[in-house]
Amino acid sequence: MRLALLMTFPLWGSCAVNDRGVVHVRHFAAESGHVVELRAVGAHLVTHGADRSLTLGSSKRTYYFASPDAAPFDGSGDELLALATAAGPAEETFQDLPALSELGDPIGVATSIAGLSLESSRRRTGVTIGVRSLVGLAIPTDFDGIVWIQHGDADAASPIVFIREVRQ
Amino acid sequence: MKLWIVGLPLLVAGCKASHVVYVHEQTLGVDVALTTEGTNKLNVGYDRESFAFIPRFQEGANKGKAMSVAAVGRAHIQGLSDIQIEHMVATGAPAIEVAKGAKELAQVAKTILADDGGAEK
Repeated sequence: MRLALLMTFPLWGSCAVNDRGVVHVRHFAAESGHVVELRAVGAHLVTHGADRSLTLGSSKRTYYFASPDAAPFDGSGDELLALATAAGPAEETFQDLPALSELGDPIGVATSIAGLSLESSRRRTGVTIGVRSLVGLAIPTDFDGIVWIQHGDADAASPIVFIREVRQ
Repeated sequence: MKLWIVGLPLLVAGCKASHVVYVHEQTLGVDVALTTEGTNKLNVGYDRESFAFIPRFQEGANKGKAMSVAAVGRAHIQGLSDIQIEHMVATGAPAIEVAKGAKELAQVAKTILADDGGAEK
């Protein structure tokens, strides 16, 4: 235990809570969804229920949210699919971002961590020492629509996010 | 015994699934976890798992039936942290319509799988 504390002590110099603190935040916006990317080195505490965790080490987290402004689609599923197929990459935006905890539940989560991670999210409770990567989608059962997500680790690539429901 | 007491509420929570779930994860190192979906694990070394979970309706006219889902997915994995994915998931009424349009769905598969670069599918 002492050894672990000694080994991780330098990491405590940089701390972040959600998207505040020593964390690199990128925000991408598309018509029907948006993407928040967090990169941190050091201690990173995430309080969002979908990814509640404490990581000591390096981490990259990407969250895919539906846009609250996207109106339900008036048309068939085939037409919506055609729209999704044509969706282009989301554009990086530098507008102020609401706090992560206010953004609701993400439809998709992608994480890569290296170090020590304690997790207590809705899906998983556990501890990881080493390297772990995860890509997950969680679509509510009352969602009638199409989700199209493209995620890559390449820095230059913008993600594709299309999350839209049909009108009931 | 303590582990069982902690695990029981999680298992109960897992029975009331409220989401369609797709997960791909891989770990190198030590990983101890209890999950509401997937498998609980005690892993030392390398582990990788991919799974999808389609819940059943808990109430209404479709009670007991599985949700309608049509999906095409690709995962391109290189090393431990370089994961590229592309997923199209249609749920509910659009899923039924998309599944009936075989040509459209085939075109989506072609689009998603075209740039696989030796990807694992």
